[in-house]
Amino acid sequence: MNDSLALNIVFTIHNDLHLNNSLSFISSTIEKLFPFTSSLEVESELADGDYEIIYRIQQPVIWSDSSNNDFFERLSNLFRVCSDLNPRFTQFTSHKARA
Amino acid sequence: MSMTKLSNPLYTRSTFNKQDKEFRIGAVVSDGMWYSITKWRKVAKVTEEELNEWIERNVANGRLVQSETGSKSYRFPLESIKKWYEENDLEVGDQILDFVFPARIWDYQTETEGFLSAPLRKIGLVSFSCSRKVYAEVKEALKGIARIREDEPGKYKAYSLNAAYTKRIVENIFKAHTEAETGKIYSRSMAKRREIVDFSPLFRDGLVSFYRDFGKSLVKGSMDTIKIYLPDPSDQESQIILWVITAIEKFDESASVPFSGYLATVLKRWPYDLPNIHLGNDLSKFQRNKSKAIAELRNLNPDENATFSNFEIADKMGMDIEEYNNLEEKNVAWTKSRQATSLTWDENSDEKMSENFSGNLARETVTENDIILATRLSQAIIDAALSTNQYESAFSLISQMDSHELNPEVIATLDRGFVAELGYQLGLKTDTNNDDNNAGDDTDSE
Repeated sequence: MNDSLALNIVFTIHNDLHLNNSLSFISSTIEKLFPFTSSLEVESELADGDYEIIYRIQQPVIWSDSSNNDFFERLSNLFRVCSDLNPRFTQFTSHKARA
Repeated sequence: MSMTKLSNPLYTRSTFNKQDKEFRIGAVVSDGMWYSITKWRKVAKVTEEELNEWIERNVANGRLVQSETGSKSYRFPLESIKKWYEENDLEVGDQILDFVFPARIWDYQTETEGFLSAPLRKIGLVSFSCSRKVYAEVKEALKGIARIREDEPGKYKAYSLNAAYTKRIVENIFKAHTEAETGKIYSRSMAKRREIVDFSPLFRDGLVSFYRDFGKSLVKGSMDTIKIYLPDPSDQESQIILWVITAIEKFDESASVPFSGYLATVLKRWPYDLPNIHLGNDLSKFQRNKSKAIAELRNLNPDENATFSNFEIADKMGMDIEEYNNLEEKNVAWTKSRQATSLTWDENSDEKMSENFSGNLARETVTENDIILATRLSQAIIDAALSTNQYESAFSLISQMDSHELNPEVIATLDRGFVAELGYQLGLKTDTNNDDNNAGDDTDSE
């Protein structure tokens, strides 16, 4: 994936009995909403026991209102259905390489 | 045989409730834990009559075990678990329900059986505090009589068969030393303990490893306190393991209740012993009272930026200024010793994290509130972009998302209509009152 046009979405998930369910749910949701334009970049356990995963999602290649609108509609869906799993943006990978 | 795996559960609560009653009743106890009638009935969603009929049948055929205390607590032994899984075409260790852990089996024993095979033993317990030099003498004198452990720095516990006899030996040694080197001696003749080595090594490893992870989730609510006294994540993990081992050593297997419930109860309390352990009673009390005093002074003073002298704070705490200064000096020294550039004790008595992290490189210091705020902001950016069609502004703002990197020059280039809508989405303004034509005018949402 071309890093220059990608953004990161971080999920911080409680490492409890539902962890596996949450991970599969996020994975399948992203796969449905961003097929071929998303990749799992980081999956790690934080010091406090929470679980963090970072997906990188490619921005629209063609810059137009309709493609951008479609992209943000998909993002909106993603954030809505995953609202319990703390999804959030971090900055573009094109601006700063992630640790 | 060692199995405790978390896999995709076969049933959620709603799909489980659609299974037949016989399966539901068996599935609940298939984890090998103790179940009371009330809890069992609630999870299996059956009537008391239905459950009693099942219990009667399975106690009679030897598959179900009732608590020896006579209480109405029941469990499946290992053989019954294996048989139940086989009958239902499942593999032992499969996670059946998404709200119950799978069967915990290590070294051919269920968790319950492991505890029953290593029961608590009556012992004599003598607690004392003294200098390292005196401790060395006590340790030598109690060789072959008691096992001594340092419970907290400078505080020791001697475990033996006879507390009175052990106490006399400690007292005799203390008499030969000054009061400055020795403290009080307490004894309990009827304490109950087991040793972690009472279990088989395989069982012990599985038990501690499983509850170390479970313990981490139980202390989440106390993590802010724990992080103050144990900033290093590896120290935090070690402390959790120590708590788990202590709980294992104290857990009364004859009560016929699951260990997880006991651990959850004690881990609500033990983290709050850390201030006393690490600071001592005096300094820990001083910190608490100082925070309270400052909060009270603030409430009395209308000026939000007011600062208070040590005299005012000491007066509010009802302390002599010399005593106050003495403890304050110790407090400052302790704070420095913890390399507290990364944390401060907020004057309103809340624990406050530092701002010395850059982006996600210090992810472990990001608090729950930060995450909730970042989620809200991310959602608001998406909504504002869709409402205003200002996608470029949205991308620009996302590019600035990592902590403390907001560039005023970039922010100034954002479309004002987008900014107004963003403010509205974040609840900073009750009504945008803007249409596409005047979106940039007179907005005060920032």
